Amino acid sequence: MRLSAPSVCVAALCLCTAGAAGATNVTLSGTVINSCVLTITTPGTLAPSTDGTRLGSEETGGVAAVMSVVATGAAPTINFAAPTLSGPSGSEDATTAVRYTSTGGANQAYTSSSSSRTMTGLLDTFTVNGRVTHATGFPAGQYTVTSVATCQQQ
Amino acid sequence: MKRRLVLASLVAQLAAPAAAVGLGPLVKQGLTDGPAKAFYLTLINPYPDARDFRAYPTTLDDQPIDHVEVIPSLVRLGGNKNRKLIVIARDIEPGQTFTFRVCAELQHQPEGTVHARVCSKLSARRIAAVAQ
Repeated sequence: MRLSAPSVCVAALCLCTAGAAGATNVTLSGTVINSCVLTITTPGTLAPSTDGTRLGSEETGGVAAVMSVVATGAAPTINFAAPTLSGPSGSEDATTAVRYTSTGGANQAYTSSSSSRTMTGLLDTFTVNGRVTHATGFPAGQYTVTSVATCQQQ
Repeated sequence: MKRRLVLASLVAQLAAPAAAVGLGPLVKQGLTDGPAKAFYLTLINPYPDARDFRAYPTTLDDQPIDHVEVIPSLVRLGGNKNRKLIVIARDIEPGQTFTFRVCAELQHQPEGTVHARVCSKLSARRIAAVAQ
């Protein structure tokens, strides 16, 4: 069967029209809730200073803790509680402090008090250093400096 | 082959985060006409494998509260999964706005400089009684 050019055009137009009449929307929907995910990728370790009066993550052999934050749908605050020290008896009067910086611009100097940082974007990564100072040195044992990092909305 | 499996397992262990937790929404408020109000929160496990989490209520200044219940308060959650938690605040007085937090963290925090937790701020307002 041979079709003339106008017949082909009419057939093509019919196909297109039929396609348009059967068109429908394909909908994919989702909901973003404001949430916060904290991930500590490196727990951090302390090492003694050469003069024996400090334990810190910035001393040779120490490692800073690294924590990433993903905050969707909100700009939460990351609150760092005052650091605490657990260690053998004889270290109770040592001074414990943490400091942190972040890729989002946080820059907190060493402090023994609580501190906070309000997120300005979706992602941020904090590098947290801990330090313990004791003028008379440290009894042998296991030492841990801990600061509770809380992601929350003010 | 065996050596490759051991190596892959070692890499996975090194890649797993030391501590991680997610929770949302971070703020929620609601109205009630009775002494109790319930909220839904979503707990997120960012780990690739199953972990145990705990969720607990606190006051805004981080003190324990006894008339708020989190169900379940102890959860084992599969890798990269999330699930709903139900929070029920009770004993709300007529006209009272009761604001508190519910925090989530790993049940057993690993040794380290930073302990991670996420808290939602919840606010329940009970409508005042109408004088007859």
